Amino acid sequence: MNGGTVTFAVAAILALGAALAVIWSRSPVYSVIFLILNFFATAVLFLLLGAEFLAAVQILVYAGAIMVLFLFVIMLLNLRRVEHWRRSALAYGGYLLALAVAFELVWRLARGASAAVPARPGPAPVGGIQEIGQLLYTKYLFLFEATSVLLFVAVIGAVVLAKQTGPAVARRARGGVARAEAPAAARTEDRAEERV
Amino acid sequence: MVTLGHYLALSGTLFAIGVLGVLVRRNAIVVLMSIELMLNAANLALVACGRFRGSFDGQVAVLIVLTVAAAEAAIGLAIVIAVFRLLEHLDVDRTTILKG
Repeated sequence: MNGGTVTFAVAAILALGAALAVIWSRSPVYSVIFLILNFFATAVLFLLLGAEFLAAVQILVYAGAIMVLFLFVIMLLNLRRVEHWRRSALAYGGYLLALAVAFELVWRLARGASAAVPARPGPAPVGGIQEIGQLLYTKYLFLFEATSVLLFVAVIGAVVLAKQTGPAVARRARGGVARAEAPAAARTEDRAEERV
Repeated sequence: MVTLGHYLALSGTLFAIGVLGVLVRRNAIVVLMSIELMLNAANLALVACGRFRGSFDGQVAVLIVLTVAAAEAAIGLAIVIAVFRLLEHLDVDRTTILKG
């Protein structure tokens, strides 16, 4: 029972506990905090697997940017802890399905993989940055460029989706979708009468 | 001694916890966070298998997955904001506008 095994056990238990706490918490802010904890535990597991660069990127991007974005949205929408779990039959089907997924994955993946994690392949100067770079810009160049296009599209999409659109939004919020149609029709009728 | 099986079992369990979160929680933001949990579990499996095969392809794949997860989180939160502006709540069970 050396240090590596103890670290793995601690990080694994932390990751599992934090994941359970994410889906169990009443408040969405607590869920975000526990998810950040889960990402830190995963970063430790990445370190154990010799992916130091990836561990740093995980903390920077996932815990440092995406979770902060979640917190911003929760803060801006001013959410309270008002929502409950589903109590319907569908929810219990969900529990069963998750249990089946867990059993299937753990059973199939872990059954035949009893080999120990091998030694680090070749010299790795700074957590594998050199090897990752060489792969990313030669073998996976198209993927790299495609992700840049994806990010560009995501930025445009986020701006368009979150934009305020004016009086139509307020009208819908007051009376639902059906009544939003009637004022719009009345508006066009008024305009038609003006033209005549 | 920690084997590849341990890492994959942990990844599978984390993924299943994410699935549970998506299926059972009613808050849209917690559903999005459960999706991030699932992607994180897949990342762990990718890195573990990449290390096992002695290549760095797994880590490159994780970088791509990380980028896709970031873009998806941004779009998902923008949709959540738009829906909240319309409906004043984030309960996925009550978001039935498209219901015929």
